[in-house]
Amino acid sequence: MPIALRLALRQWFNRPLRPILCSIAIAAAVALIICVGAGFDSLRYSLNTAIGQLLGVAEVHVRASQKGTDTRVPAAMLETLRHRPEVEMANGRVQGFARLTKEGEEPRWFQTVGIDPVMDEKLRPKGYTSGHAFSGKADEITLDSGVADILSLRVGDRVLFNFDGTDATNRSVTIVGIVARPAIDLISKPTVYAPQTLFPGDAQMPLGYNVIDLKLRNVEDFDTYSTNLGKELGPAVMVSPGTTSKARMGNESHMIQMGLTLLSVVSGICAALIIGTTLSVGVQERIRQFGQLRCIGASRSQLVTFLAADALLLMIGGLIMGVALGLGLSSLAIHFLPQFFLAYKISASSLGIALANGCLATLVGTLVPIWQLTRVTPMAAVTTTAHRARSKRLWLAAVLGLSCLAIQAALWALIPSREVRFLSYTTVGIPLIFIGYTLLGPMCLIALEKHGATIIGLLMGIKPSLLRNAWSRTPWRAGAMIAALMIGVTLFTTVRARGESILKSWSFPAKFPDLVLFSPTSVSAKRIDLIRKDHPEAAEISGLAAFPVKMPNSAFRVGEVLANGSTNFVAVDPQSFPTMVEMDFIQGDRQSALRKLAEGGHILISKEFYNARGLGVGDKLTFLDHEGKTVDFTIAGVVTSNGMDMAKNYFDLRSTFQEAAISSVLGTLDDARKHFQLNGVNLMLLNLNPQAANAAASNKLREDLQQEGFQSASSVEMKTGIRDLIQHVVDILSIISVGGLCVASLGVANMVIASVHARRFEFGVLRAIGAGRWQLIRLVLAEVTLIGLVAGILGALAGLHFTFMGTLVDRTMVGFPTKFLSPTWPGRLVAIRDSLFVAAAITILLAWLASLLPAIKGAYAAQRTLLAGGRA
Amino acid sequence: MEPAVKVTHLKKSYRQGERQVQALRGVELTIARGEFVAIMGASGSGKSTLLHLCAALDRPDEGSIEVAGQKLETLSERQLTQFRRRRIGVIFQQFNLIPTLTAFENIALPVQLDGSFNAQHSARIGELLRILKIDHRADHRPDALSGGEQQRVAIARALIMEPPVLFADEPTGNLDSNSANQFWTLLEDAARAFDTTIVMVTHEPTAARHADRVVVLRDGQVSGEFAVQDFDDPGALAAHYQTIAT
Ligand SMILES: Nc1ncnc2c1ncn2[C@@H]1O[C@H](COP(=O)(O)OP(=O)(O)O)[C@@H](O)[C@H]1O
Ligand SMILES: [Mg+2]
Repeated sequence: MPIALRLALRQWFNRPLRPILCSIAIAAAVALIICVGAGFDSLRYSLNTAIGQLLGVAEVHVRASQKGTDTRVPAAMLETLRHRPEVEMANGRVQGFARLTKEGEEPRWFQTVGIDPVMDEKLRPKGYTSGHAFSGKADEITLDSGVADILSLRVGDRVLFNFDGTDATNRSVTIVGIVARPAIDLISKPTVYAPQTLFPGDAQMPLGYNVIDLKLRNVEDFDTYSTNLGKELGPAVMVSPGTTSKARMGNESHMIQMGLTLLSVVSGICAALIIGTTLSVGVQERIRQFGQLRCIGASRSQLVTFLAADALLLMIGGLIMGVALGLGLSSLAIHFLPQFFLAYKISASSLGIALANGCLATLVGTLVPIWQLTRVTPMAAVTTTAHRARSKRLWLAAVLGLSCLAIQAALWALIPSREVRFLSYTTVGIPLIFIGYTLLGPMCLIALEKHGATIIGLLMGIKPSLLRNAWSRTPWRAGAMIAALMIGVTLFTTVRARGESILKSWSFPAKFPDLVLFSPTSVSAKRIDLIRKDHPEAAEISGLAAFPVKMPNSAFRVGEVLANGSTNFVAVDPQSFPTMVEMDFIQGDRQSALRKLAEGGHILISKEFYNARGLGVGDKLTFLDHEGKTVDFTIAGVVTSNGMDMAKNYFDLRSTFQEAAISSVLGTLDDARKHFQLNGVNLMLLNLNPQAANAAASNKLREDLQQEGFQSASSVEMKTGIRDLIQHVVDILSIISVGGLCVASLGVANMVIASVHARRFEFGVLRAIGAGRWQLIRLVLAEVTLIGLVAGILGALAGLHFTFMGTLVDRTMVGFPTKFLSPTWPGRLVAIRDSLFVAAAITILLAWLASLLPAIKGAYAAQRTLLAGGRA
Repeated sequence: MEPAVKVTHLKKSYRQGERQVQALRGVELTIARGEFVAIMGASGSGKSTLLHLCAALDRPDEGSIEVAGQKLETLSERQLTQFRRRRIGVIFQQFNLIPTLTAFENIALPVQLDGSFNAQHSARIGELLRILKIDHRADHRPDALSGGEQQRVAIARALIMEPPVLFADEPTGNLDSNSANQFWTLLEDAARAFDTTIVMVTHEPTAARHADRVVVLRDGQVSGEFAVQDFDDPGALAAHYQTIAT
């Protein structure tokens, strides 16, 4: 065995606790990444499988061009497409709502798809739990198991079926098959499948197809093909490759990948700092030994190989533990969440990222110790070099830290262009802030040790003079540990303070409809009339549709880039909407603005839109219509619109397949019909009759509507829903950051072991002159308190700094102004005090927990060491 | 025949805070091959400094050192490492063994650093262990050995590469008188077996009696020297030393 490896192994076996803790730090970093990676890979696999089941094997889809509308592709286009040489198969589908009546029961509405039974089976193969596909005879239908369960229907049962909700048009049909629902319930609704001949072809809904699926021959690049076909067919239709939904998933995977990168960086830095301090402690402790090795003829590079062997062992141990831990935890988690995951998957790249992170962290962590090692001279064997760190350097670090903060502030204040300012903040500003506070660490620690020792000593019941030399010999090592702790604290504080800022800035409108209904398939005006008729407990229903519109020559704006580049057109009924949703007019007077809106060609813009672009009443906004031509709208008023935005965002947040837009404009349904081919609505605002405005009636109504294909939410639910969602995100991120803090506290444990070991004689002497074990333990805990206090406070300050910068970004970039922590100064001060307190308390507590065991061990070993007379 | 050690006009100073301390102020010294020289002097007279410079552990400010035919000031960092490994052995007051390695492994260490360990070395370690009367302790770690035993392991480690010169800085400073006496006898035996020049620092006249010649330092300069054989009586030697040292 090479001598380097033997020395490393012996070192490990001799004092196992520290290398094991260090390996655990690497393992934790690796495991964390594996867990996130596996979760992501499994989710992607599950969603892709489920989407595949839903969308079938078609390679290209042709739809009417405007999203969120019910416009159909003309029926003749199916024939044209079918005859193209490269088209192997073409299949058209119609979507709508149908009312099913089971003998002796109330009628119910369901989402219904009109299909060509032969073609559809080929392109969207369905699994049947019983029965088979219908033959094409007009009186046969199939249901998915969702509908079958709701109505308790079986193959062979007959039901009445119609589209317009009147008994006169009822037809009796036989159920010939029950379709298995896609593997993931979350992305499918109870659905009825019926022959297309059953669908009415009236003027309201011209017969045509909502979607045409194409299977191609001899085409390889579906993206290019789709683009070309789209150009050929004109702007009225939208051609997309069959993987569109998967590509959307790809968008999200991009986000998750960014999250994964962030996590890798955070946990990697933590691990690197811990490895760095542990190895550096090892070098310092064995500096005599290394000097001795130099005396008997070891070269510098040989010393470095000794250290590398040490690091290699740590790394191998860490990677093995990390992979085992990561795979174990993630498979367990996925096993217990079958509603989200079909199978456990982990890609080679996720594993690779995790392993590479562990390796990189080790490598980076080894750099400083290696540098220290190359400076070991043979004289280290004979001279003891335990000198105080020069306070000049501590000052230098602190000044450097303050300069980092000053440079960041200057960059923000002095860069005139908003975009460049924002970019400079994300790329340079964020690291500067963190590094700035980190560099203040050693100075603050030594200052606290000097001046705070009295108070902390008093609190912990030990002589302050004992505390004054705790870290002054090793301020840099302690500083590195503080930095490791600060990562978690900063993240924790930022997340919580940001959450609080957003929640405090979010006000719920006073006037808001009782229920908001949402339908994934668009709802026609006729259907809304039917709902009114069927459900007398609904006093008022106002339909609205929200869909993204494009602007011509849209200049580069960061706010828009963040929002996926689209503006939201919210189309409303100009009569009923203003009576149901509160709108405060910031510009323009209410009456004339609403009158102009009803006239057409006018829009209201939200305050956010106004803030971000500086447009006001009388200005023109230009959008692209469904044919790609420009349409001008005149701004009739500027409103605060949290009511309508909230309604839309609520469902957006819950629906993975919708894009969220930040800026909205409000126009009329008529204009939307005229310019954007809008035929139906997705959202309905509903007010209950005063007699029916009780919980039982509203629950009954919602249950009925649910089965007709509408999701619904009450105003209270929306309010709590959004709060819960933000709270949820805050909680999850808090847990991650506390996890980071736990990993970092492993480093504290390591450092305490080292410092107790280095002072074993001092401790022994203290024991000999009558100090109790408990007193020694308290001494160690008091020393750790100094570290925890500095890390907690500096970390929290950095977190508050990031939060403050966040509110500045909100104000200038996003257009949704948030308040820093609280709208008022007293509230703000209380929040700041609480943040500092919580951060310091958590950090100190974790640091205590981490150092308790080494402290006890040290206290018990102290006397033995003294008696052993300095051997070992 | 060229000398084993030749020091000319050697100067070395240290900074102690604001102060500059002249540890060596122009030392001249020549030691012949096979000689056993004791360097004596009061505490702080510069003995250790001289030894460290000769053993290439540190670099002098001025002057030149030639050890085993090599002029140290002409050697590069790499060559100095080679020199330490192959041309000299060093023994310290603090035994300075690697605590995680056994006695045998500690002795083998210089050979392994040289990358040349073979059966011959193994046999030589066996021989050294026997001469030094610690063959039964070969597989023990330093913390299981007595001080005398540890220092004997240190001798073996210093001699394993068969260096022409062996340097020792107060090797018996941490040993009781019995162990010290045994140490000297064994060191002489071992050095004779390997034909080694010994340069030893000590401030104890009793230890100096084992040497051939005594060189006395005072305030960083050689203040006198004498042959040990001129004094049969340890008391007379000590008395003579005192006159030169103070
Ligand atoms: N590393 C050092 N730094 C500062 N001063 C030193 C150092 N080593 C030795 N000295 C000083 O040099 C002088 C000679 O020391 P040394 O050679 O150790 O003497 P001796 O071994 O004879 O006791 C002493 O005054 C000592 O304080
Ligand atoms: Mg000395």
